[in-house]
Amino acid sequence: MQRRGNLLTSSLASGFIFGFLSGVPFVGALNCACCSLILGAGALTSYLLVKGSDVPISFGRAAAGGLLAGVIAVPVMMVTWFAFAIIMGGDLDAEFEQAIEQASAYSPEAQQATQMVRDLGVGFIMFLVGILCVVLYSIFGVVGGLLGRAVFERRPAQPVPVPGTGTPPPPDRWQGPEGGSPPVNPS
Amino acid sequence: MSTTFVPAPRLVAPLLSLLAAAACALIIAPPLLAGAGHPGEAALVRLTFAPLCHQIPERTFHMLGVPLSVCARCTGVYAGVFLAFIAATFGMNALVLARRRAGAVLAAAAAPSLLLLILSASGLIPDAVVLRAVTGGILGLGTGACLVPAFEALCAELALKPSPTGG
Repeated sequence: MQRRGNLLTSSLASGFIFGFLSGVPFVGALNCACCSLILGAGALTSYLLVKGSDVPISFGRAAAGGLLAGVIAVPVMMVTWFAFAIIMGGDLDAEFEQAIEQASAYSPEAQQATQMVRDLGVGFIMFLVGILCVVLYSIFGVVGGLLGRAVFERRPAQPVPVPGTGTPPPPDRWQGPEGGSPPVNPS
Repeated sequence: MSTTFVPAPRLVAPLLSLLAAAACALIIAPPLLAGAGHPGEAALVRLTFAPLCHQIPERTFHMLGVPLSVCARCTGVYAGVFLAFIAATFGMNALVLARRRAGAVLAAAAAPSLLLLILSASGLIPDAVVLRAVTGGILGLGTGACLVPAFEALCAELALKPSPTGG
């Protein structure tokens, strides 16, 4: 039976690794460069899928893996961040205030506007940030997965039947010349 | 038998261009909103981009005295991605290279940014905001060029999946 690469295992591993890195102080700052760590999570997921599959992985599978890795990375990142904050003795309220001040420093009107954000409290804001990160990390995870598939998958894509011909796809979605068996992953 | 809504591959580049245009619009929104008398909305748009960018004012372009949503490098990246999607919409043949050598294209696109990072960190060249934007733009062009064929292939795969009802 052909291996197809375990999507859940690949996504969990990538999500945990890059989620942890995202929560580590200074290292997590790499996410400030267009979520580069989350792009890496998606790319690593694709790499693991490629290595664990005997047949070329599809872009859909890579995208799904990247999305899953991005979603998994969010709670891992937040737990890691909290853990480091406690270990390092940080003041979460002070950091929250600093983040708000930086975001609104350019305008007194903006500072007044962000008073509403302060009033919501750290806990609720972290919940909202978590929701926002799930959305953003999902998107960048998909992007990373697609880029990873484009970079790491060197085997020819599986031929697919032309729609409307009435020819159903074979069970394993691969049919080589004269119906031969699929190629074995050379790696 | 296709899923409910999957764009045809030929529509992928235009749709991506629209999404990228929306993102670029959000990037320049804070100065425009602040200038129109909506500082609260401007601040909220900037906060939305906070997980994606450090937003350090000294490394960010300003318009009407107000910083954009993201730093100069990120602005360049998003602009480069948008230009790549626009180029794909008009069928530029340069994307053929991105289809076949995605790794090499991405590496070449990232090289200027890495070079600038090394040279500016070592003090050999000034860490100019414009240079950050230009190198970010090159990175965005390469990334966008690789993303278009990837999304086209994804839509083609999704379009050929049988529907859950078997119809």
